[in-house]
Amino acid sequence: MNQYIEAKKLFRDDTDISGYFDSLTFEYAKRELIEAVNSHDTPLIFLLGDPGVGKSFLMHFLANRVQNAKIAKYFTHPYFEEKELLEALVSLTGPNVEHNQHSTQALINHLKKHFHDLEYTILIDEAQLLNEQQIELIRILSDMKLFQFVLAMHRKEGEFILQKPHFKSRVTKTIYLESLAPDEVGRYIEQRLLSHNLSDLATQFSKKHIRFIAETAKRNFRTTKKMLATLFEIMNLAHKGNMPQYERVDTRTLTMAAIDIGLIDVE
Amino acid sequence: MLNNDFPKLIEKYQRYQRKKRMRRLSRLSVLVLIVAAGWFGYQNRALLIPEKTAPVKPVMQNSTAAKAVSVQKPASEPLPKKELKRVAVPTPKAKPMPNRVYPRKSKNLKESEARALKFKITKKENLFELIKKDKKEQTYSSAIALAHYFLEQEEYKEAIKWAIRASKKNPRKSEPWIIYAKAKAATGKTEIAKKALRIYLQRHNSKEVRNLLESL
Repeated sequence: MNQYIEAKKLFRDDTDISGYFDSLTFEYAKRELIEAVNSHDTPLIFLLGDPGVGKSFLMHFLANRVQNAKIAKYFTHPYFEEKELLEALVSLTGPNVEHNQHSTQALINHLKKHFHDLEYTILIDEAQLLNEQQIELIRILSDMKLFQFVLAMHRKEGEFILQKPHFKSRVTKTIYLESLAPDEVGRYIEQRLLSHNLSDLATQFSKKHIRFIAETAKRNFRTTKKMLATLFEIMNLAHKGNMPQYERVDTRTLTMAAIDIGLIDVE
Repeated sequence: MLNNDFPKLIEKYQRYQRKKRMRRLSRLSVLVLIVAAGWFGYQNRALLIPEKTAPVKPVMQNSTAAKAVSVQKPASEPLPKKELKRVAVPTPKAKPMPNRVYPRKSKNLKESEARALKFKITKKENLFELIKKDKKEQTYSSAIALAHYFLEQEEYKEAIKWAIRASKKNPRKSEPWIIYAKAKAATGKTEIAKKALRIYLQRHNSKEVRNLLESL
């Protein structure tokens, strides 16, 4: 496996915890979120941010790495039916409950017996996909202090939900996850490559290149990763096709990467 | 995997570069056009500065002289009917008007400076610079240089205007009076020209003025 393929793998779009990067905004949001989850006094926590800023990664991190957080369930995608959520929650009490035989109210009553005081937290990613009815159910469950909910969703949709009267009047916490700072893009690339002994590639990134990446990817974490993965794929193809002019990090290869993923429109 | 084939991506990149170059070129041409248009407008504006014809302040001591001066008001101001009648019948002399007033030997710095400036006015740029300078500093030298220039260019109205301005700056100088008289005479107002020269001679002695008066 050549260094380009290796580098490309480092920038895959996934929530692998090994790709952790301590950006300022991420660290701030992480601290706020852990504090809120551990305090067990906020029924509803909204984690808001633009697509690709690292909300899913933070949720994943919270679910897997924060030892003292009582995470009962982590929905990587929203459930589709009201009962689906309730059944998933009821299953937390043990395998001997026959969910299908219970009505919604019966399921809620069952949950009431076992959960209280916001002791456990439910994480729901991509919560912008929940419909109004589902959000209402979450609100009811959190109001009853059965569970604490963390809803990760796009900023726009989240802010819209928060403006609704029945959310405005309730205790909620909103945590924003912002884009990377300009210098953090360079630090991320350098850190990621150097930690995997790819210093030859890491040293090819000049300040100008970093600025280009940051501006083109709009400092979005996911887009940056996507652009870098494409860049190393281009370099890999150039390497295979014996085209040395495309086998280095420069404005040309970076522009090509941006064109390929649609950040630059050629048409 | 790439979204595009590698050769196709290279082609797209090249197309993008070409477009970028074209965009830059068009931006540059637009910029050049704007600058050129701006410069053109700026140049023309210099020539089309709105006239503010200030009446000549009388520099005479006695009342009769002051009265006489009021006759030689700038061309823009309406003349009394009586005067207009006189002007309407120009009597061109056989002897042509000299195009240039040969400068006297300068006694002070300002006059020599004026002469230097006078001969510099060969291009519009110089003219504009001079007008700008006059607006800023309002010196005799720039005003007289401009008066000379406009007289040479046969732009008599402008020549009169600048001669009046120069005269205001230095009432003792004969040059503005000569230019004024020449410009007036060239526009057919010989009597006014003569009158002005006589008024000057009442107060100052100038061989040049006298010669001009005789030649008119």
